[in-house]
Amino acid sequence: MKISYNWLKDYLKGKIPEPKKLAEILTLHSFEVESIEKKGKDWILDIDVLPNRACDCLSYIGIAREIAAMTNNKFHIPGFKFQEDKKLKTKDLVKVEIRDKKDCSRYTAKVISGVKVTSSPKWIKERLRVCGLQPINNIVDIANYVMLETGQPIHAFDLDKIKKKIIVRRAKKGEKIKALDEKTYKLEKDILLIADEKGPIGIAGIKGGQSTAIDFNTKNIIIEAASFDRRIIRQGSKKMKLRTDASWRFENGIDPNLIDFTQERVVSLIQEISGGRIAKGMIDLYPKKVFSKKIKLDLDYVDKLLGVKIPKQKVIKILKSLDLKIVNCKLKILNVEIPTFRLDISIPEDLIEEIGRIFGYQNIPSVFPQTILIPPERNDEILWTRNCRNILKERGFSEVYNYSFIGEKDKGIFGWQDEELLEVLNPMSVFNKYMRPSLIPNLLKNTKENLKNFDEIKIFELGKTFVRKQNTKGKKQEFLERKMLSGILTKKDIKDEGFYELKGMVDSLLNKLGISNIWYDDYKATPEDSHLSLWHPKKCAEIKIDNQEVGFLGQIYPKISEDLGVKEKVFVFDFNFERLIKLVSEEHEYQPISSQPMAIRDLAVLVPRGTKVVEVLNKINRAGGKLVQDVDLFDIYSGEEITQGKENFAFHIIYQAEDRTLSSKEIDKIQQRIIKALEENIEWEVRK
Amino acid sequence: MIKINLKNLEIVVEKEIKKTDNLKDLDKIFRKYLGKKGKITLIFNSLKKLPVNERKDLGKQANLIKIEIDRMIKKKSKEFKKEKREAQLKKERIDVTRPGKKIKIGHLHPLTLVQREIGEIFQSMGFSIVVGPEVETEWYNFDALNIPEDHPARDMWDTFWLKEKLLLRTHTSPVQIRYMEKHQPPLRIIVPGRVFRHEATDASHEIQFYQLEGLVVDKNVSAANFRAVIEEFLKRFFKTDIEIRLRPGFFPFTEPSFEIDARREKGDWLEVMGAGMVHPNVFKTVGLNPKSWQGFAFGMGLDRLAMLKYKISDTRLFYSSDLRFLKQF
Repeated sequence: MKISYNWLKDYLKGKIPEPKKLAEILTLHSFEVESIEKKGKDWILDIDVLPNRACDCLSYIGIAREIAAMTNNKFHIPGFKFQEDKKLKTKDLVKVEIRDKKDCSRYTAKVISGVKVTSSPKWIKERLRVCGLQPINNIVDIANYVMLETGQPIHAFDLDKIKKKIIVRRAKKGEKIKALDEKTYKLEKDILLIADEKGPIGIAGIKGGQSTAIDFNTKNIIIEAASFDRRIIRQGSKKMKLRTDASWRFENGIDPNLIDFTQERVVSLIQEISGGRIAKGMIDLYPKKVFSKKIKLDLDYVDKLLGVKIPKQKVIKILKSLDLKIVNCKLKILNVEIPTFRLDISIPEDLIEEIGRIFGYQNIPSVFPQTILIPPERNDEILWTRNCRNILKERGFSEVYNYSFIGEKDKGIFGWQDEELLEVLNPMSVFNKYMRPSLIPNLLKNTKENLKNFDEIKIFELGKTFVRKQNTKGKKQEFLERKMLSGILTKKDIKDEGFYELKGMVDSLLNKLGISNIWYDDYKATPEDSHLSLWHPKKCAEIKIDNQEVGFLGQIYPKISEDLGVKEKVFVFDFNFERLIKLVSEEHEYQPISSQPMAIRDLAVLVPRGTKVVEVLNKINRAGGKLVQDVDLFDIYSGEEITQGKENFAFHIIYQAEDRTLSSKEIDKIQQRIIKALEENIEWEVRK
Repeated sequence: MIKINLKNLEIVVEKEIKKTDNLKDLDKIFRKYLGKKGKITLIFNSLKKLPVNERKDLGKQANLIKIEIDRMIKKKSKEFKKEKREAQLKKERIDVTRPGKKIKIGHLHPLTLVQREIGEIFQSMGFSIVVGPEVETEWYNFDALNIPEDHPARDMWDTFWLKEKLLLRTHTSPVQIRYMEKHQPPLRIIVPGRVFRHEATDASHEIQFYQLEGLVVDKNVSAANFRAVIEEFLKRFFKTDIEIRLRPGFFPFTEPSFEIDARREKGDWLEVMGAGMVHPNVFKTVGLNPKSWQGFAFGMGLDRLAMLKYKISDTRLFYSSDLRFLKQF
């Protein structure tokens, strides 16, 4: 809220600090002052009133009361007077009906007849402009002026334009109103209205209507000051996308007892400035008067919560400075009466906040907590997350953080269905319409962008993905929030070796995590796997640990990467991270180093193209037995000299016994056994 | 006779050694005297023909000379090797200004680094790290935190809504509730995580960012304790003395509530976090008696802390996945 420094002085008896100093005091004890701006001989303070204090501090009186408490000053309201005309009775001039008491806890109206509508005096205009309001005419300006002063919104109607009586009611379907801003609003059901017998004359608590507006011919006016239900005003203002100075104040709640003073202040100013006869009395529908409440405050609790001893006398002084009344005081218990304008205070902790901030939070010392020493709980997820990131980094992969969203276009490219995706109901744009069901789309986009600057891309991301799943029982939809670990490898002119490079990386990642028993199975799409199209059908593997699938490794379906602007082949690993970390192991046992020498024999096998290495390896291992310590494929060749349609696999076979040096005779025997076993397959030929 | 011969021999050999200027010649001298058919070796071989008394005497002398020649040759050889080595070293050189061989390792995201560092600081003060879901229910994100529907306080958190009253969490505070539902105090936790806000983006605003929530609940936990913990944290994080100030703030789930500003060396105050004493309604929601427990909670934006730490001026860089940016960390 914008506050004029000079205007503020009206409400404080003593001298007030310089604007800069005042801003600092307010920031430390009440509200942050976002800026101070010099305007002529005045300064404008932009004060960020906290939401819980909007009830009383969106006003000069509220801010002045705060300043008084903090600077030992005295808050006061300048005197004013007015005279009612006994011959005119308000109740004869205006009738009010509230349809539902819950919508409007208090409605008051006063009538002034014979006003002279002109433009406002200069001082009013200036003060309004300083606070960002446009002057209109003296009646409307005074209503706004008093709203800024007290925080209570006020509305003025032209009495002669009202048909019979004022009705506070909800809008009916199809009703419309032309508001003071000359715009016509369609009113939704449930919007609270001020109406007369003909129709709407104002949107309650939000904006007045054009049909009963004050104009320069207006003679007789009604001053409305009411308390509308804050929820209804908030909902209405949201639905109509119409926020006004009045709705802003109403939706935070205002003390209904503020109205008495406000009405008097308005009519006195109007009488002073525009003349007129004030009708006697006030229409006041206030069925359930709000009274002040009392709170018991334990002074020990004050010290205990703030962590500083504040003397009793000091506490009492602070509370009194805020117009909080000490009803009585027994030893360490204060019984405090809370004035009704402090809607924010309802429990002892609220009072402790008041004491703390006026005492000064900067006066609270730093004291380390005294507590039982409990070692922090170990969080395995955090630990393994950390390890995975480190391992990937060491292997040359850089970490990215992408948006948790995908766009409409991505949905099309990947062919995801509506029922699989978690939709955002109020996206900022088409780019964040859905929650990402996979990390891959955004990683592919990163790849495209980064290929402009780098020849080789190795990136990974660890993050949440979101998919909807049809519940097995049928109807009910549920969603899964899954942590995934995915990475991309590509480079200029990359060949299928990329797959093996990434596979080697995956192997070493899993080994480092203490996982053995890793194997790769041909990707077999199940019918419900609609994201089948994500992978190249012949260049994708399921990564399995024992019999559990933990992820995928393969080339992205070329059309998808091309659609996303990546011309190169893209190889990707995609882990279900939660599943993966259930399989990790920190156990690690030392293997004694064999003192026996090892012998290496090479073996080359000519096999038909398409033969899987694992088939040959299995044969070698089975025939070799336990003296074959390791078999290492070191070359695959299918160039010249090799019969068409065949491939040559070359292996190092490592022989070693635990307990003795193997004789070459013994090794030859096993080697022969292996050759024989391999040649059982008539299509395989061991090259000698 | 032989005696004089031997003495002479030593002098002759010494001269010969002195004259040599390379290892090869030195080796020849060695062979000439001490080799299989060397002169000294021959003397030893001839000893057995001599009478015992002469044999002893001569053998002793011959041995002394052998040792002396051997010593001289070794010494000379060492000199030659040293010369050779030095000459070699004089020839060799490298250009130390040529670039080192590039080691290809990857880079971790700056927000990962900041989260780690903060996590370590708090763990050293006995905090456990806890995480929670990014898609939340309206209840955990708002109601349970004393933010009722239709309360203007909800405007403090612009929200992305999903179907069925689900939403993208606007803060990490729901994890406070989830944790307290399952754990009895005393407790000390921090909760790092991704949060979302429905707002226009610019250099200091993003639709997603990282927050770190803290919660301490015990019998006697005060605002003074909060101050000490947070001062210690900021001091360690920024690795310098940091001045902080608490000023009034408002959060529906804390009472009293504070905003915390920090500054280095009398610079400008920067808002670094929001905090407060846990609101009794929050304790009631999770079934704890507010008369038995008190606590403080705080929340800070990690992106903002990372920006301060690394002097990054645009928060959108964190989510750009631009390797030119990421490779700097």
